[in-house]
Amino acid sequence: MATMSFYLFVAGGLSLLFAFALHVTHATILAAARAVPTPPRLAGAGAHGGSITVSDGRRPGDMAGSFALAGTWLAAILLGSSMVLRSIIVWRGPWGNMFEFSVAFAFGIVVGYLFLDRRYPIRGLGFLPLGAALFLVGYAATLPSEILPLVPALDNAPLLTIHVAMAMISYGIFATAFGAAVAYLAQGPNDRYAWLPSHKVLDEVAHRAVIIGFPVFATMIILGSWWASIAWGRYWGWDPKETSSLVTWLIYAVYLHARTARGWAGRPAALMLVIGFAAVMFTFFGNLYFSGLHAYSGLN
Amino acid sequence: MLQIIVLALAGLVGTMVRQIPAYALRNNPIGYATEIADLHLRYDPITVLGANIGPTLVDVFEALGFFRIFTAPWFTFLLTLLVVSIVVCTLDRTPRLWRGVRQVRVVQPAAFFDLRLPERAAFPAVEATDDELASALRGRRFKVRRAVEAEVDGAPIRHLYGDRNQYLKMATLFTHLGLILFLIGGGVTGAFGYETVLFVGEGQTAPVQPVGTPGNLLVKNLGFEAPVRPDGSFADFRTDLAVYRDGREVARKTIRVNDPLEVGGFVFHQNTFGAAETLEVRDPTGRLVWHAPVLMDGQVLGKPQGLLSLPGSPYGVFVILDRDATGAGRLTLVGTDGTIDDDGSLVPIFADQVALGGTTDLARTAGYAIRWTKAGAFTGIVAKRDPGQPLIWLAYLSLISGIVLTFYFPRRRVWARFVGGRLEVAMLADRYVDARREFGQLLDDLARVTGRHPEQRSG
Repeated sequence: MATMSFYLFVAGGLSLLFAFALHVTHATILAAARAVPTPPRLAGAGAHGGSITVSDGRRPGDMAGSFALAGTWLAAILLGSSMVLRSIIVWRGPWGNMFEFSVAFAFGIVVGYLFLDRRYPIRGLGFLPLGAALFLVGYAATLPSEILPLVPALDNAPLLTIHVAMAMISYGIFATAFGAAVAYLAQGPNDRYAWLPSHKVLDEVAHRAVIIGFPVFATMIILGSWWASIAWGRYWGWDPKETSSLVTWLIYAVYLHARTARGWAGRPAALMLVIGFAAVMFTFFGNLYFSGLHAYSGLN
Repeated sequence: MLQIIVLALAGLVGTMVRQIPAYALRNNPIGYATEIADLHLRYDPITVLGANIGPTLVDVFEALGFFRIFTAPWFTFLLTLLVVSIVVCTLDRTPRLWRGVRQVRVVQPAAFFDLRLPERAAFPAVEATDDELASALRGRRFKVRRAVEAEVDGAPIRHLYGDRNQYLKMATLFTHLGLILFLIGGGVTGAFGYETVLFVGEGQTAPVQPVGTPGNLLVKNLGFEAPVRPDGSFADFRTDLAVYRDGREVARKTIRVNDPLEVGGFVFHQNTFGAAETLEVRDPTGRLVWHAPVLMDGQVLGKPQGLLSLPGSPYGVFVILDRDATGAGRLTLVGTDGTIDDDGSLVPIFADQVALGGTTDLARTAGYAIRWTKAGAFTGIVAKRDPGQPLIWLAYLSLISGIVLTFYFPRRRVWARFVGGRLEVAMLADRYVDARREFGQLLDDLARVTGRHPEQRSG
């Protein structure tokens, strides 16, 4: 079963590579044709169920976009199946070392993007979050993938499963917020590129992603704090991982305030999201470089 | 917002710059000196444009508190300032927030329904009744109120008002309350909590609080194990721990890293462990003066080191755990009576080395026969009483419920106005709502009820 899980991981990684390439192709075709992105049909909406006009014909890049989406779904299914098999083997969330964290993070990004893609016309910028996911899968491929028993500090299956799952969900959705923010910065208030969604849509996508991820991220920190009080006898110890999580959360809190504050809305708020995702990556990889209690990477 | 940014930056520095561990900051000059030396070792090589700035950098950072950011007075000041700002902001906003929630305006003027505004629509020649429209609004979980204005051209203007999650607008107060409670909880912990680390050798006991404290608890280490997997990693850390009060056992449990013991208001956590070497010591008359583990809870040149005060003598013995050329364990025993030479160093009175099971040479250890009888380990237990913890959990609950309610249950308001046969509709929603989408869905419902399509739509 472990071998099958690994094969699924490899297949998922290849699908992701395929999906990423098709997203790049889709964006390139849109850009070359200066086409307006095709908005998705809103699920459950009737004749007036949404403010976005539904496209009435095929546009350049639609086929590449459809294949790109199919490839992304395939990658999500394969990576998810790989994790499910590992879960069955270890009987907990499959996140006990850096390989598993990286796969789960990549899966979180892919699922976060797919979720938002259903509601917003963001396929033209899909290569940004998927690029981050591909990087993580590539990184995971360089790590030892064997299934090892947990270190004693992690040996709390329910909390491990929920705490890390929440981290991966929020990290994943923040990746799409990052993609939307980068596109927003490129797009500018005058909607410089016709093939990208308008700056208003990008702003909305980023905001929607953050208000989904922000409470999940807060809950993740709280659960981690609870776990720390059980395992280490203190709920907060300013450990590098704890601190960088808090800093990341604060950055997104500042973003949520900034977006509605005069002088901060627009470009500064988008910049805040780019910084926020840099903080996410720092939080994720930081334990490899800074000493602390969250040294569970399995790497020496 | 600026305060949060400054705190975030301080946190970032605290993450990237190595922080001095808490033990070294608690009246522990040796530990502090060791940590500073370690910082110099780490940062001294730093050069910029060929200039070696490392040593100065360490001194400047230490002066600024960058190596102890989270206990630095200026960090505490920033946190306090943030709390004060939140309290002031909350007090300032609350009355306005309450008024906004309580005072609803069912009747809106015609200009309010101007179709050029976002989320506005109108249905011509509507024959549906108020009840049918109210039902459509209730179907979308709006609480509906009605009003009738004076007649215009012989027909009354009827108003419907729908409010969804009216009072949840106040949830933002929970978020702010959570932040305040969090810091109050931390303050209560700091002021009234008690925390200590107990190093206990196998079979030994240790008081939890200073001797003489009424109702004090004693802990006894009935056995510590740290089993190792074939790959050399630790599989577990567990201590068979008994807790006594007034000589009576009140609790006993095998505690693990994720499974502490809670008794008498204290929680006992498995925290650490180290070498503990059992020595048997006989004085020059042959009388047994010591037979117990010596905790190797210090370090000398990276090697575990413990101190044994020989009962009934002026001597203290430094015990250093080492390995001989074959890799076998070896104890170096250095006796001193506390005499200090001109250099300020302790003057050794005697010194010898023993292997496990061996006894020192009496001639070399001032007539004392010191035998190493057993190699073992001590357990490190964190004993903690934290009266601030309930407040912390309450703070978390308040914070998270505030965030969830604010983001996932935002307020939406809908106004409908019948003028003659024409129905005008307007919607306002908090910024967390996908208002255009929801308004579109509401129009779908109204189109079904009225049998008409909106004449014009904004957005």
